[in-house]
Amino acid sequence: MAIVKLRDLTKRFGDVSAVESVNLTIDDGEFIVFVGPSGCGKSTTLRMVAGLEDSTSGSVHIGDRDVTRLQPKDRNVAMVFQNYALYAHKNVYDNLGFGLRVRGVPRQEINTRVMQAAEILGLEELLQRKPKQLSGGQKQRVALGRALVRDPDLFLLDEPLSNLDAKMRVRMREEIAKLHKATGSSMIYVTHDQIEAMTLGDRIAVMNKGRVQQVGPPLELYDRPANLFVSSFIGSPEINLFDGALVGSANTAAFESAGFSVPVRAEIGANGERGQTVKAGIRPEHLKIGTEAESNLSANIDLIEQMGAQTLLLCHIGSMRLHALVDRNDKVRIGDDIPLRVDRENVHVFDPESGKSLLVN
Amino acid sequence: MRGERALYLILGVAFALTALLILYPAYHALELSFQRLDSFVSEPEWIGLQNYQTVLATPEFWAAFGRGLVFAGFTILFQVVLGIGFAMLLDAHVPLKPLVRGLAVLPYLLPTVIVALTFQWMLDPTVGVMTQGVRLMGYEYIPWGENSAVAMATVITLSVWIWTPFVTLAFLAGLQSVPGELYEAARVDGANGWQRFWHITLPQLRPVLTVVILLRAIWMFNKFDIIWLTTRGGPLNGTEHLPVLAYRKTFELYQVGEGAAVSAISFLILSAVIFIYFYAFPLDEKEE
Repeated sequence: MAIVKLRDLTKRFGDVSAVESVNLTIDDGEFIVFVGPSGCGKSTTLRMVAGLEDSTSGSVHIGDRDVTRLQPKDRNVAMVFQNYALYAHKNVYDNLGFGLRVRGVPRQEINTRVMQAAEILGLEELLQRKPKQLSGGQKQRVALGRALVRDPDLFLLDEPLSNLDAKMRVRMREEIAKLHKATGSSMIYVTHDQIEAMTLGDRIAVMNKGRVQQVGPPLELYDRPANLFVSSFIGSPEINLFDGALVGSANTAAFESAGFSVPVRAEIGANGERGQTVKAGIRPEHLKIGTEAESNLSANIDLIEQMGAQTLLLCHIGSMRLHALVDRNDKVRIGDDIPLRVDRENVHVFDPESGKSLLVN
Repeated sequence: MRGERALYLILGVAFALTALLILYPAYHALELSFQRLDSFVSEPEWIGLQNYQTVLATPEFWAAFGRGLVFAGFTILFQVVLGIGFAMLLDAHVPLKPLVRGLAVLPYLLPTVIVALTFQWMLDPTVGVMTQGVRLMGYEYIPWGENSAVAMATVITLSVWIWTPFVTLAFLAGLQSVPGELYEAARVDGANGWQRFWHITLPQLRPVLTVVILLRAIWMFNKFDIIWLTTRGGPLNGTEHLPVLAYRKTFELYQVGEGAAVSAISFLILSAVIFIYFYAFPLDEKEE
């Protein structure tokens, strides 16, 4: 258990910058998720923490040790890989005990710790099996167990659920969350799946193009995205973005676009300039069908997707397309003009040049 | 059905060629081993197992068998050990990788006769470059043509030199299929270089190792050309193994029946060994 500090961590491959000045402090026992599209540098960052990749500059501290130049084995971290990386010729028991065996831990202690891990992960029945006799979910449990028996300062998980089918992914997600609660260890978890990130992370670091875009608890990222990238990466279905301008001021501040106008928070009106060209983001789930009187915008329905509890509408206002996630009991038909309303605190406004939110100055 | 006719046609041709080029000569050799004839043109006389009795009773047969084991055993051992070593070197980050890999295969491409003649020349007791080199170091000269052990060491060295590239290539191909994540997992787990080799590389290469040892065993046990061209089985039969013995009996002593019997026995031994080998080391790992 330890506090992990990444300071100006940078990785360049020739002229290409894979990771640029990552600064992050991970608290003792914290579960932090690196999320972002492929090639955003999240895996490279994780591998630099593991010691599998040398950093070009910057440092990694685990506890009170500077581990930047240490070999992976000397960092006391454990890693779980996307493809499980199980030793094919060894049975589950030997896979679990390998990390202890190569470190010369006495046989008796290996046995105790392997059996403990097997019990926590429900692997007791499988100890004599070879990896190829296991299902994907079982393999990943063995990989987790291999990390667990090591009792590391830090767990590193590199897209551990990507190779599993959707159902198993949800189950393993819960198991990882339970494992984190049970061990209280610090964990860094890399994924491209924002739902995994939102459900697992104490905090999430959203990365893009080698840089950390925003770090924060899941709901903070959802409610107050720091920039355009975060707003569209977090949330599903994706946020609607509109081009337009800021009008009014303070309590009358509003975002105005071709064909509609919606009120925005006073802070946004204060931070922005009147008449400033901006982009506004409104999440589909924040668009509600209202009465003519209370509605801000009127859209025409192109397509209706039933999702079960909710209904996703694909609409257009003039030439702008938007999604709205509405109640399944709302009576709508393709071709209808529907009045939509949105609360001012759910309108995100960004500078189109820098992409930065006008909510944070 | 057209597809089926084509299938039978292809199978038929394959069978005919096999029968003509492999089965018939093999049958003929086996037939000869039961006959007495002192040349290929004389009238053969059927004598049953007498050739086998004669051959198995002679010490020269057992000596040749033993030398064959020594030759095959050492060449396989060195080829495999060096082959794995070279494969790992070539798999690592070396400058000019394609060129170095190409060069490493070169000995395998040379005709055996060229290699044998070149080495004979290099080891020539008066003008050979090796002889000169040894003199420079202050020794008299290598008695490679007079001492059985030195001659055996020489043919083993030559064979290792020529055929190690084959083993290297096989292992190099095998190494490509080892997932890199396994090494990374082992590094994080704390395994050092030797432990990674022992716990990952070697087990992952096991199927290749099984096939390579089998192929090399068959080839080295039957290898005729390199020994015949380098030492002719000499000095004083010091490098004579079963293929050379069979050849000498058949084509030099004109004991055609006995020569054929040596070949047949050699074939039986090899078959038995391969059978046991497959039983002990199945190619596909058994499910426990």
